[in-house]
Amino acid sequence: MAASRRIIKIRSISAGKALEPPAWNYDDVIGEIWMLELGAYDAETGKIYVSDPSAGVTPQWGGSYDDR
Amino acid sequence: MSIELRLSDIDPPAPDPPRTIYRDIVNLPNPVLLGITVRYLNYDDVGLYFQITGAGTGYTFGTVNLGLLASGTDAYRNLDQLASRAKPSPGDLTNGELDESITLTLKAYTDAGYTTLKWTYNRVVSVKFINSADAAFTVDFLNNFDDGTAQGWEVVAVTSNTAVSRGISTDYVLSTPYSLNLVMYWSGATGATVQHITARLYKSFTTPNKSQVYAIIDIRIWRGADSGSNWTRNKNYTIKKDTDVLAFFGRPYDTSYVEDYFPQSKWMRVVVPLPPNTTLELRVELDAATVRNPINIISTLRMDDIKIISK
Repeated sequence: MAASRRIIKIRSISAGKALEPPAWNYDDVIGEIWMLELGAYDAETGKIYVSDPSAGVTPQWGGSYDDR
Repeated sequence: MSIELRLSDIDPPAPDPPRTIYRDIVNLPNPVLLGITVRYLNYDDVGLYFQITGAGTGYTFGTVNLGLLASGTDAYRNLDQLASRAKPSPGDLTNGELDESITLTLKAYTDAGYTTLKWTYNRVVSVKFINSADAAFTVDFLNNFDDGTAQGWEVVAVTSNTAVSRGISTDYVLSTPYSLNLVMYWSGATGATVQHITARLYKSFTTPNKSQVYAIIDIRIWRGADSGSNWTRNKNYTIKKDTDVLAFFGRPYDTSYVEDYFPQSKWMRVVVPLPPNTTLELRVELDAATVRNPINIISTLRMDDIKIISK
Protein backbone atom coordinates (compact mmCIF):
# COMPACT_ATOMS: atom_id res chain seq x y z
CA MET A 1 0.00 0.00 0.00
CA ALA A 2 1.40 3.33 -0.98
CA ALA A 3 2.12 5.74 1.83
CA SER A 4 -0.15 8.72 1.82
CA ARG A 5 1.43 12.11 1.55
CA ARG A 6 0.50 14.95 3.78
CA ILE A 7 -0.66 18.02 1.93
CA ILE A 8 1.43 20.82 3.33
CA LYS A 9 -0.32 24.12 3.05
CA ILE A 10 2.73 26.14 2.27
CA ARG A 11 2.85 28.39 -0.69
CA SER A 12 6.23 29.15 -2.15
CA ILE A 13 6.98 32.73 -2.96
CA SER A 14 10.18 34.69 -3.11
CA ALA A 15 11.40 36.18 0.13
CA GLY A 16 10.40 39.81 0.35
CA LYS A 17 7.92 39.60 -2.48
CA ALA A 18 4.86 41.72 -1.86
CA LEU A 19 1.64 39.78 -1.86
CA GLU A 20 -1.09 40.94 -4.16
CA PRO A 21 -3.59 42.02 -3.26
CA PRO A 22 -2.09 43.00 0.09
CA ALA A 23 -5.16 44.72 1.39
CA TRP A 24 -6.79 41.68 2.91
CA ASN A 25 -3.73 39.78 4.02
CA TYR A 26 -3.80 40.29 7.77
CA ASP A 27 -0.74 38.16 8.34
CA ASP A 28 0.98 40.81 6.33
CA VAL A 29 1.06 43.40 9.07
CA ILE A 30 4.18 43.97 11.16
CA GLY A 31 4.22 41.76 14.20
CA GLU A 32 6.47 39.27 15.89
CA ILE A 33 10.20 38.95 15.71
CA TRP A 34 11.86 36.00 17.32
CA MET A 35 15.05 34.03 17.62
CA LEU A 36 15.47 30.80 15.73
CA GLU A 37 17.24 27.91 17.33
CA LEU A 38 20.57 26.95 15.83
CA GLY A 39 20.06 24.74 12.82
CA ALA A 40 16.40 25.40 12.62
CA TYR A 41 14.53 25.83 9.40
CA ASP A 42 15.69 29.06 7.84
CA ALA A 43 12.88 31.26 6.64
CA GLU A 44 15.19 33.45 4.63
CA THR A 45 16.13 30.62 2.30
CA GLY A 46 13.02 28.54 2.55
CA LYS A 47 9.36 28.96 1.99
CA ILE A 48 6.95 31.44 3.41
CA TYR A 49 3.71 30.38 4.94
CA VAL A 50 0.75 32.41 3.78
CA SER A 51 -2.38 32.14 5.85
CA ASP A 52 -5.79 32.13 4.30
CA PRO A 53 -7.60 35.23 5.52
CA SER A 54 -10.95 33.66 4.80
CA ALA A 55 -10.17 30.86 7.23
CA GLY A 56 -9.89 33.16 10.20
CA VAL A 57 -7.40 35.78 11.11
CA THR A 58 -4.34 35.32 13.24
CA PRO A 59 -4.07 38.26 15.61
CA GLN A 60 -0.87 40.17 15.13
CA TRP A 61 0.56 41.45 18.36
CA GLY A 62 2.50 44.34 17.00
CA GLY A 63 2.13 47.25 14.68
CA SER A 64 3.69 50.29 13.10
CA TYR A 65 2.89 53.98 13.08
CA ASP A 66 4.27 57.26 11.83
CA ASP A 67 4.81 60.47 13.69
CA ARG A 68 2.10 62.69 12.42
CA MET B 1 10.30 -10.28 10.43
CA SER B 2 10.85 -7.22 8.35
CA ILE B 3 12.04 -3.76 9.16
CA GLU B 4 10.29 -0.94 7.43
CA LEU B 5 12.20 2.22 6.75
CA ARG B 6 10.28 5.40 6.13
CA LEU B 7 11.23 8.93 5.34
CA SER B 8 10.35 11.41 8.02
CA ASP B 9 7.01 13.10 7.60
CA ILE B 10 7.74 15.86 10.07
CA ASP B 11 6.95 19.32 8.83
CA PRO B 12 9.62 21.94 9.18
CA PRO B 13 8.87 24.62 11.74
CA ALA B 14 6.59 27.27 10.34
CA PRO B 15 8.86 29.91 8.85
CA ASP B 16 8.26 33.58 9.19
CA PRO B 17 5.26 34.91 7.33
CA PRO B 18 5.80 38.10 5.37
CA ARG B 19 5.26 41.37 7.15
CA THR B 20 4.38 44.76 5.75
CA ILE B 21 4.43 48.23 7.20
CA TYR B 22 1.86 50.53 5.57
CA ARG B 23 2.50 54.27 5.53
CA ASP B 24 0.48 57.13 4.05
CA ILE B 25 2.68 60.09 3.11
CA VAL B 26 -0.04 62.75 3.23
CA ASN B 27 0.75 65.37 5.89
CA LEU B 28 3.66 63.42 7.36
CA PRO B 29 6.76 65.38 8.43
CA ASN B 30 10.04 65.26 6.56
CA PRO B 31 11.86 63.06 7.41
CA VAL B 32 9.20 60.47 8.15
CA LEU B 33 9.64 58.83 11.56
CA LEU B 34 8.67 55.20 11.99
CA GLY B 35 7.68 53.61 15.28
CA ILE B 36 6.90 49.94 15.78
CA THR B 37 5.75 47.61 18.50
CA VAL B 38 7.50 44.25 18.40
CA ARG B 39 7.07 41.06 20.31
CA TYR B 40 10.30 39.14 20.79
CA LEU B 41 10.87 35.70 22.23
CA ASN B 42 13.80 33.91 23.84
CA TYR B 43 13.87 30.24 22.90
CA ASP B 44 17.35 29.77 24.34
CA ASP B 45 18.08 27.85 27.54
CA VAL B 46 19.47 30.90 29.29
CA GLY B 47 18.43 34.46 29.84
CA LEU B 48 19.77 36.87 27.26
CA TYR B 49 20.09 40.60 26.76
CA PHE B 50 18.32 41.68 23.61
CA GLN B 51 19.04 44.55 21.29
CA ILE B 52 17.21 45.67 18.16
CA THR B 53 18.24 47.79 15.25
CA GLY B 54 17.67 47.80 11.52
CA ALA B 55 18.87 48.82 8.08
CA GLY B 56 17.43 49.89 4.78
CA THR B 57 18.38 51.98 1.78
CA GLY B 58 17.84 55.63 2.68
CA TYR B 59 16.93 54.80 6.28
CA THR B 60 18.63 55.74 9.54
CA PHE B 61 17.93 53.34 12.39
CA GLY B 62 18.44 53.71 16.09
CA THR B 63 19.74 50.90 18.29
CA VAL B 64 17.64 49.99 21.30
CA ASN B 65 18.82 47.82 24.19
CA LEU B 66 15.82 45.86 25.38
CA GLY B 67 17.36 44.43 28.55
CA LEU B 68 17.30 40.93 30.00
CA LEU B 69 14.71 38.45 28.80
CA ALA B 70 14.44 35.16 30.69
CA SER B 71 14.67 31.81 28.91
CA GLY B 72 11.41 30.68 27.39
CA THR B 73 9.67 34.01 27.77
CA ASP B 74 8.56 36.77 25.50
CA ALA B 75 8.15 40.51 25.77
CA TYR B 76 6.66 43.45 23.92
CA ARG B 77 8.26 46.80 23.37
CA ASN B 78 7.20 49.90 21.54
CA LEU B 79 10.15 51.44 19.69
CA ASP B 80 9.30 55.07 19.09
CA GLN B 81 11.05 56.75 16.16
CA LEU B 82 13.12 53.64 15.52
CA ALA B 83 13.80 54.64 11.92
CA SER B 84 13.81 57.82 9.87
CA ARG B 85 13.81 58.34 6.15
CA ALA B 86 13.51 61.29 3.81
CA LYS B 87 9.84 61.69 3.05
CA PRO B 88 9.03 60.33 -0.40
CA SER B 89 7.56 62.95 -2.70
CA PRO B 90 4.28 62.20 -4.45
CA GLY B 91 6.27 61.82 -7.67
CA ASP B 92 8.21 58.93 -6.11
CA LEU B 93 5.01 56.92 -5.88
CA THR B 94 3.64 55.26 -9.00
CA ASN B 95 -0.15 55.42 -9.01
CA GLY B 96 0.07 56.32 -5.35
CA GLU B 97 2.25 53.36 -4.32
CA LEU B 98 5.90 52.74 -3.49
CA ASP B 99 7.24 49.39 -2.27
CA GLU B 100 10.55 48.92 -0.53
CA SER B 101 12.00 46.79 2.23
CA ILE B 102 13.91 47.18 5.46
CA THR B 103 15.68 44.65 7.64
CA LEU B 104 15.07 44.47 11.38
CA THR B 105 17.93 42.91 13.31
CA LEU B 106 17.44 41.32 16.71
CA LYS B 107 20.64 40.50 18.61
CA ALA B 108 21.01 38.55 21.83
CA TYR B 109 23.96 39.02 24.19
CA THR B 110 24.97 37.03 27.24
CA ASP B 111 26.05 40.07 29.25
CA ALA B 112 24.46 43.28 30.43
CA GLY B 113 27.21 45.28 28.73
CA TYR B 114 26.10 44.00 25.30
CA THR B 115 29.61 42.84 24.35
CA THR B 116 29.30 39.06 24.02
CA LEU B 117 27.01 38.37 21.08
CA LYS B 118 25.30 34.98 20.99
CA TRP B 119 22.59 35.29 18.36
CA THR B 120 21.73 37.53 15.46
CA TYR B 121 18.43 37.30 13.65
CA ASN B 122 17.53 39.38 10.62
CA ARG B 123 13.95 39.92 9.57
CA VAL B 124 13.07 41.42 6.21
CA VAL B 125 9.96 43.59 6.37
CA SER B 126 8.20 45.12 3.39
CA VAL B 127 7.30 48.78 3.52
CA LYS B 128 4.45 50.05 1.40
CA PHE B 129 4.07 53.79 1.05
CA ILE B 130 0.76 55.04 -0.27
CA ASN B 131 -0.40 58.53 -1.15
CA SER B 132 -4.02 58.74 -0.10
CA ALA B 133 -4.32 62.03 -2.02
CA ASP B 134 -3.30 60.41 -5.31
CA ALA B 135 -5.99 60.36 -7.96
CA ALA B 136 -5.61 56.59 -8.17
CA PHE B 137 -7.23 56.29 -4.74
CA THR B 138 -10.82 57.00 -3.87
CA VAL B 139 -11.64 58.42 -0.45
CA ASP B 140 -14.63 56.32 0.50
CA PHE B 141 -15.08 57.66 4.02
CA LEU B 142 -13.70 60.71 5.79
CA ASN B 143 -14.53 61.43 9.43
CA ASN B 144 -13.07 64.79 10.47
CA PHE B 145 -15.78 65.69 13.04
CA ASP B 146 -15.71 69.25 11.79
CA ASP B 147 -19.51 69.37 11.60
CA GLY B 148 -19.52 69.23 15.38
CA THR B 149 -20.75 65.65 15.67
CA ALA B 150 -19.12 62.27 16.39
CA GLN B 151 -20.11 61.18 12.86
CA GLY B 152 -21.36 57.78 13.95
CA TRP B 153 -18.51 56.82 16.26
CA GLU B 154 -19.78 55.27 19.47
CA VAL B 155 -18.10 54.34 22.75
CA VAL B 156 -18.41 51.43 25.15
CA ALA B 157 -16.65 50.34 28.33
CA VAL B 158 -14.83 47.05 27.72
CA THR B 159 -13.96 46.29 31.35
CA SER B 160 -16.51 46.62 34.08
CA ASN B 161 -16.60 49.81 36.09
CA THR B 162 -14.83 51.79 33.39
CA ALA B 163 -16.56 55.12 33.07
CA VAL B 164 -16.43 56.44 29.51
CA SER B 165 -17.56 59.45 27.60
CA ARG B 166 -17.32 60.40 23.97
CA GLY B 167 -17.69 63.75 22.35
CA ILE B 168 -15.92 66.29 20.22
CA SER B 169 -13.14 68.56 21.28
CA THR B 170 -11.23 71.62 20.13
CA ASP B 171 -8.09 71.21 22.25
CA TYR B 172 -6.11 68.99 19.90
CA VAL B 173 -7.16 68.74 16.26
CA LEU B 174 -5.61 67.98 12.89
CA SER B 175 -8.37 69.72 10.95
CA THR B 176 -10.13 72.58 12.64
CA PRO B 177 -12.32 72.97 14.51
CA TYR B 178 -12.99 69.53 16.02
CA SER B 179 -11.59 66.09 16.78
CA LEU B 180 -13.25 63.05 18.36
CA ASN B 181 -12.71 62.89 22.10
CA LEU B 182 -12.68 59.80 24.38
CA VAL B 183 -12.29 60.06 28.15
CA MET B 184 -12.17 57.06 30.48
CA TYR B 185 -11.58 56.54 34.19
CA TRP B 186 -12.35 54.14 37.01
CA SER B 187 -15.96 54.32 38.09
CA GLY B 188 -15.76 52.00 41.08
CA ALA B 189 -15.19 52.66 44.73
CA THR B 190 -12.21 54.65 45.89
CA GLY B 191 -9.28 52.52 47.03
CA ALA B 192 -5.58 51.81 46.73
CA THR B 193 -5.98 48.73 44.52
CA VAL B 194 -4.83 49.04 40.91
CA GLN B 195 -7.76 48.86 38.51
CA HIS B 196 -7.87 47.75 34.88
CA ILE B 197 -9.82 50.11 32.64
CA THR B 198 -10.50 49.69 28.91
CA ALA B 199 -12.76 51.55 26.52
CA ARG B 200 -13.57 51.22 22.83
CA LEU B 201 -14.50 53.62 20.08
CA TYR B 202 -16.20 51.89 17.19
CA LYS B 203 -18.07 52.47 13.95
CA SER B 204 -19.46 50.19 11.27
CA PHE B 205 -18.35 50.58 7.64
CA THR B 206 -19.02 48.74 4.41
CA THR B 207 -15.83 48.68 2.38
CA PRO B 208 -15.82 49.08 -1.42
CA ASN B 209 -15.29 46.11 -3.67
CA LYS B 210 -11.76 46.94 -4.80
CA SER B 211 -8.45 45.16 -4.59
CA GLN B 212 -6.89 47.51 -2.06
CA VAL B 213 -8.68 49.08 0.88
CA TYR B 214 -6.96 50.89 3.73
CA ALA B 215 -8.02 52.60 6.93
CA ILE B 216 -5.89 55.61 7.89
CA ILE B 217 -6.25 56.55 11.55
CA ASP B 218 -4.62 59.53 13.26
CA ILE B 219 -4.65 59.27 17.04
CA ARG B 220 -3.33 61.13 20.09
CA ILE B 221 -3.44 59.65 23.60
CA TRP B 222 -2.39 60.83 27.03
CA ARG B 223 -3.40 60.67 30.66
CA GLY B 224 -3.56 63.02 33.59
CA ALA B 225 -0.59 63.74 35.82
CA ASP B 226 -0.10 61.93 39.12
CA SER B 227 -1.70 63.50 42.14
CA GLY B 228 -0.61 62.10 45.48
CA SER B 229 -1.33 58.39 45.45
CA ASN B 230 -3.61 58.73 42.42
CA TRP B 231 -2.20 57.72 39.07
CA THR B 232 -2.98 56.26 35.63
CA ARG B 233 -0.65 54.58 33.14
CA ASN B 234 -1.58 53.83 29.55
CA LYS B 235 -0.64 50.25 28.64
CA ASN B 236 -1.66 49.69 25.03
CA TYR B 237 -4.04 50.59 22.28
CA THR B 238 -5.28 48.34 19.52
CA ILE B 239 -6.86 48.75 16.12
CA LYS B 240 -9.37 46.00 15.42
CA LYS B 241 -11.59 44.79 12.63
CA ASP B 242 -14.48 43.40 14.63
CA THR B 243 -12.63 41.17 17.12
CA ASP B 244 -9.50 40.74 14.98
CA VAL B 245 -6.45 42.63 16.17
CA LEU B 246 -4.91 44.42 13.20
CA ALA B 247 -2.34 46.44 15.12
CA PHE B 248 -1.23 46.52 18.76
CA PHE B 249 0.88 49.21 20.39
CA GLY B 250 2.50 49.07 23.80
CA ARG B 251 2.54 46.05 26.11
CA PRO B 252 -0.13 43.78 27.57
CA TYR B 253 -1.87 45.03 30.69
CA ASP B 254 -0.02 44.94 34.01
CA THR B 255 -0.28 46.86 37.28
CA SER B 256 3.07 48.66 37.07
CA TYR B 257 3.07 52.43 37.54
CA VAL B 258 6.65 52.95 36.30
CA GLU B 259 5.86 54.18 32.80
CA ASP B 260 3.37 54.39 29.95
CA TYR B 261 4.04 51.78 27.29
CA PHE B 262 3.60 53.87 24.16
CA PRO B 263 4.21 57.54 23.32
CA GLN B 264 1.96 60.04 25.03
CA SER B 265 0.71 63.40 23.83
CA LYS B 266 1.66 63.19 20.19
CA TRP B 267 -0.25 62.42 17.03
CA MET B 268 0.47 59.01 15.52
CA ARG B 269 -0.76 57.64 12.21
CA VAL B 270 -1.69 54.00 11.81
CA VAL B 271 -2.51 52.48 8.41
CA VAL B 272 -4.17 49.06 8.26
CA PRO B 273 -5.49 47.05 5.33
CA LEU B 274 -9.17 46.14 5.25
CA PRO B 275 -11.02 43.44 3.33
CA PRO B 276 -13.00 44.58 0.29
CA ASN B 277 -16.78 44.48 0.01
CA THR B 278 -17.28 43.75 3.67
CA THR B 279 -19.36 45.26 6.42
CA LEU B 280 -17.09 45.51 9.42
CA GLU B 281 -16.73 47.33 12.69
CA LEU B 282 -13.58 49.40 13.00
CA ARG B 283 -12.53 49.56 16.64
CA VAL B 284 -9.95 51.55 18.57
CA GLU B 285 -9.38 50.32 22.12
CA LEU B 286 -7.43 51.97 24.92
CA ASP B 287 -6.16 49.96 27.89
CA ALA B 288 -4.83 51.44 31.12
CA ALA B 289 -4.14 50.85 34.81
CA THR B 290 -5.34 53.34 37.38
CA VAL B 291 -5.56 54.01 41.09
CA ARG B 292 -8.25 56.38 42.37
CA ASN B 293 -7.58 57.23 45.97
CA PRO B 294 -9.68 59.35 45.93
CA ILE B 295 -9.02 61.41 42.78
CA ASN B 296 -9.76 60.11 39.28
CA ILE B 297 -6.83 60.48 36.87
CA ILE B 298 -8.30 60.23 33.40
CA SER B 299 -6.96 58.54 30.30
CA THR B 300 -7.98 60.27 27.11
CA LEU B 301 -7.78 59.89 23.36
CA ARG B 302 -8.31 62.11 20.32
CA MET B 303 -8.88 60.95 16.74
CA ASP B 304 -9.17 63.11 13.66
CA ASP B 305 -9.28 62.85 9.86
CA ILE B 306 -10.01 59.12 9.79
CA LYS B 307 -10.11 57.89 6.21
CA ILE B 308 -10.96 54.72 4.36
CA ILE B 309 -9.48 54.75 0.88
CA SER B 310 -9.42 52.25 -1.96
CA LYS B 311 -8.17 51.63 -5.48
